[in-house]
Amino acid sequence: MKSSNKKLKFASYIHNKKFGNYYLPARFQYVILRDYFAKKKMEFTLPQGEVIFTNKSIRLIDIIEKLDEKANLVLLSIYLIPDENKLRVKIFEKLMKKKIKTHFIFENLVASNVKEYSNISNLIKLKKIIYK
Amino acid sequence: MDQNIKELIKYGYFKFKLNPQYQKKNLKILRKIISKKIKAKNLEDFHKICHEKDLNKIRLYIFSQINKSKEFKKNLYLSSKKFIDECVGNEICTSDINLSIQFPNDSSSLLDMHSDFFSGESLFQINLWTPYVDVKKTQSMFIINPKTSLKIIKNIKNNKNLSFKKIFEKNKREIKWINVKLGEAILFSPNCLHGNVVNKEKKTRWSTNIRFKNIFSPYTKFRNEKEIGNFYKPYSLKGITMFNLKHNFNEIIK
Ligand SMILES: [Fe+2]
Repeated sequence: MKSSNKKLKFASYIHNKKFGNYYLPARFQYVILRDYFAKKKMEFTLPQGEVIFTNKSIRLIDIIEKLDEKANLVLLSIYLIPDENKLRVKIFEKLMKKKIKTHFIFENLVASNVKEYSNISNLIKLKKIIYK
Repeated sequence: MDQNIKELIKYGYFKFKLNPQYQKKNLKILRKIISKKIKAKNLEDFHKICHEKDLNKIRLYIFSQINKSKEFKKNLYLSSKKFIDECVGNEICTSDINLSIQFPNDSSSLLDMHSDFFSGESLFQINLWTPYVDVKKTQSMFIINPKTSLKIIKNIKNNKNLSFKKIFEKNKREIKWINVKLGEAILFSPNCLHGNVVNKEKKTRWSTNIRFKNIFSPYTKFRNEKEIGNFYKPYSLKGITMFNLKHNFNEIIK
């Protein structure tokens, strides 16, 4: 018995609770994601939701493991990335190692290299300093 | 205690025979909807006549049609009413009806191991899972019993370096595939870990699932749309609830 070993080229990821200042029911997150995938001419796959009662990003890490090298990962916002430094670094390292391109729709940002991921990290840290 | 409830508590599910009158009605509705898109003689051989790239479009079409049809949900409920009542009572709300069509060897529509409350659904719902063909092994769904599920989920909550892949590999032996014949269904607690893998059988799986929940049992503690009027639609209100909706005694005791 095997779960699928076929690597994914596209994936999207959602939260079923508030992220940053936003809350959107899952089905409306789908609508935004589907629209973005269509605009970018990417093959839409149903988004996977994070486990609501942990802050360890277990589903996000799982998705990254399933993604192919140079795949595309689409998130609604940078607020879906954990703000705990150690965990975020671990996630960004995994993404960079696989050269995955991560799209953040609300902020209109795309990251695919060290510099771009580091910019996003700084933005998350900055927001934490300003709004806390 | 009723034997079905004993099984639900021990294994997380029980299997039963659907009321044939309503089950046949739904099979007819389903076939009629499908026939508007494609000529399918045999549902389990659907992969032979439908191209993989068209599958999602057809699935979405059927999904919207069965959810538009009040008749389909009514028949689902009536085909299993006695058993649903045993689990959640008869003053209930329901989710939409989900539809799954799983071709052999298709990895595009998999549902990884999960519990439904991972996305903030209520702990107090029952899921009616109905196949429209005979299903066995990987063509079906799997479930992990409640005791083991809880152990694994506690581990997910507390362990930083855990992945679903590791969990799946480690707990393969705990997985129970549920073989179900056409005309039967299962009611299961989606708190138990469940999901599917690539269908390694030679036949297509057709199934629906729908959640039933007592209107007055607890909802999630998280603020999201998994609440009454949104994810859960009121389905059968009883007399005293209708009485209190009509007369606002509720406003006196706030
Ligand atoms: Fe589920």
